[in-house]
Amino acid sequence: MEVLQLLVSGVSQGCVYGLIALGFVLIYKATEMVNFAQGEIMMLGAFVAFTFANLLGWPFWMAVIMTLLVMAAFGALTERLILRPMIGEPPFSVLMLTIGMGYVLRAGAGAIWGNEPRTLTTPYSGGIVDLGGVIIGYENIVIIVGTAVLCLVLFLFFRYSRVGIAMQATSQNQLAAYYMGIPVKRIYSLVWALSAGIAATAGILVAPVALVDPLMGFIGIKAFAAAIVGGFGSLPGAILGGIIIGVVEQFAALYLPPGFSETSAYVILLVMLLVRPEGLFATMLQKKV
Amino acid sequence: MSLLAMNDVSLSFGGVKAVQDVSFSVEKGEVFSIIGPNGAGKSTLFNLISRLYDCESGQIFWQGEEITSVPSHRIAELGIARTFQNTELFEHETVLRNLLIGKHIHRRSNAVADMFFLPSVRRQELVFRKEVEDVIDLLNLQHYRDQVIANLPYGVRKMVEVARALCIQPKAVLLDEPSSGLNPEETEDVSFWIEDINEELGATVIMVEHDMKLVSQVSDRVLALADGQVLATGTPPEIQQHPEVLRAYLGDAE
Repeated sequence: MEVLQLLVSGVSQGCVYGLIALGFVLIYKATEMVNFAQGEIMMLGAFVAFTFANLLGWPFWMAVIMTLLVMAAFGALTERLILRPMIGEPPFSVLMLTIGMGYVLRAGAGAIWGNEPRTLTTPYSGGIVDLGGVIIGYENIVIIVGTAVLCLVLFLFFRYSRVGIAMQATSQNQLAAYYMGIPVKRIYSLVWALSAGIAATAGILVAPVALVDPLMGFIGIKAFAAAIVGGFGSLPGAILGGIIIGVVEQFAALYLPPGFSETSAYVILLVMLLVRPEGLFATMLQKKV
Repeated sequence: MSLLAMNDVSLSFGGVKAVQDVSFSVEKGEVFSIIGPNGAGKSTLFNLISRLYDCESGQIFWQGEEITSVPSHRIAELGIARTFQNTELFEHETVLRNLLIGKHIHRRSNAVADMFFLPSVRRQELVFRKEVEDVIDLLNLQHYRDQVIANLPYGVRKMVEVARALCIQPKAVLLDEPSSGLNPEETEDVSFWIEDINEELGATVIMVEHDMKLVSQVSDRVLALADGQVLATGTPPEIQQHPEVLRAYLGDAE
């Protein structure tokens, strides 16, 4: 029973890591940039949802839709105004820029909403299901189901839709994408919008169980580890990497001395880099002679 | 009205005048070759036409319409397809998927219909697949249909890139050194499929090529470039005997 209980909470926490990791991977695959502000974008999404649902008192579904739209627009604007002028600059400058962006977002959120932790109340907050001794909160069910649905939608989007296929093409060869008639720059904006939308979804899903405060974006670092474990560049790998880290954390918290839980993400990362540096789902093809 | 016209086009990189006041026009249905020694500006011309580079001065007209500042992703819609000297393919995908992306500009369905794979999308996909299969048959790629590009030999990759360009159903195909890196047998084939593209599909062919045998076999007209300037334009025999062209290739007779 105890094991099942840990497994469920681990998976639900892992889904959140996975979703943020997905945002990292999407941007990296399409634009070869790493956005270290991904966790902060999630935090911003949680605050925006909190504002719409709790401060303005909008119906929850409407707050969710509006949050996703606002955050997608935020992502697209970030790409257009901040990242695009960086085209051609060394990757390290871009990396520093996104780290700096994270600081600005944390400080900005603190200035707007204050630094005290808030809670996003939702129509499903507080409910529990008792599955023969395993107690699962509605919030956790929503996280798991929400992540599953989002993954399915993303799968269909990348597999079948015109824009999704264009994104894949762009990530493999920009020059060729241009001459197939794909507006590569617009695709970059869309990738950022999508990635910010996914981060916002993670924020909305995790907000009812975690506290909403400007520092909540720090779990982005664990999500980054998850992305690497999954094989940076693989979308299913990101989710799976997140779930592995989430589950191990839960077990470490119970069975190992205090402190191990918090570091377990990095231990997994180190082990992975030693044993299988290409990650769970290798995306880099081996060079053939 | 010419299909494509370059009007006094210039571009320099730093102090190097890559292309200098180049003017020429290509008529519909032609096979038009651009020759010249290394560094003559041949590939730069292609990159100007496909809008990878911006002209510093001069204009480019396509079917009488100025396209000097059209963004490069719109070039395919206009009906201009191209290949690259060293191939630019989607390396991790199969030949079939590389060719299907050539249909991107012809897709008319929306994202929701796509994701549910509605009957209208299905019909559209079937049409695309049929057209792609026709191209595969034309260029004899049946054997490689489901292979990933990264595993294919260079000659086949070059053919896949040509096939992908044809899937756009272009009015003109720009071929950047179609025979480079190919063995003599494969080069022989190049002249056959260029004729097929030109006659069966009715596409105008504009190519940059070094192999003079191939050029004289297939070209209607040839443009000779040297140091970014036009030396001469004419039929292949005219160009081969043109004194300026001979001097550019062989140097002055002392």
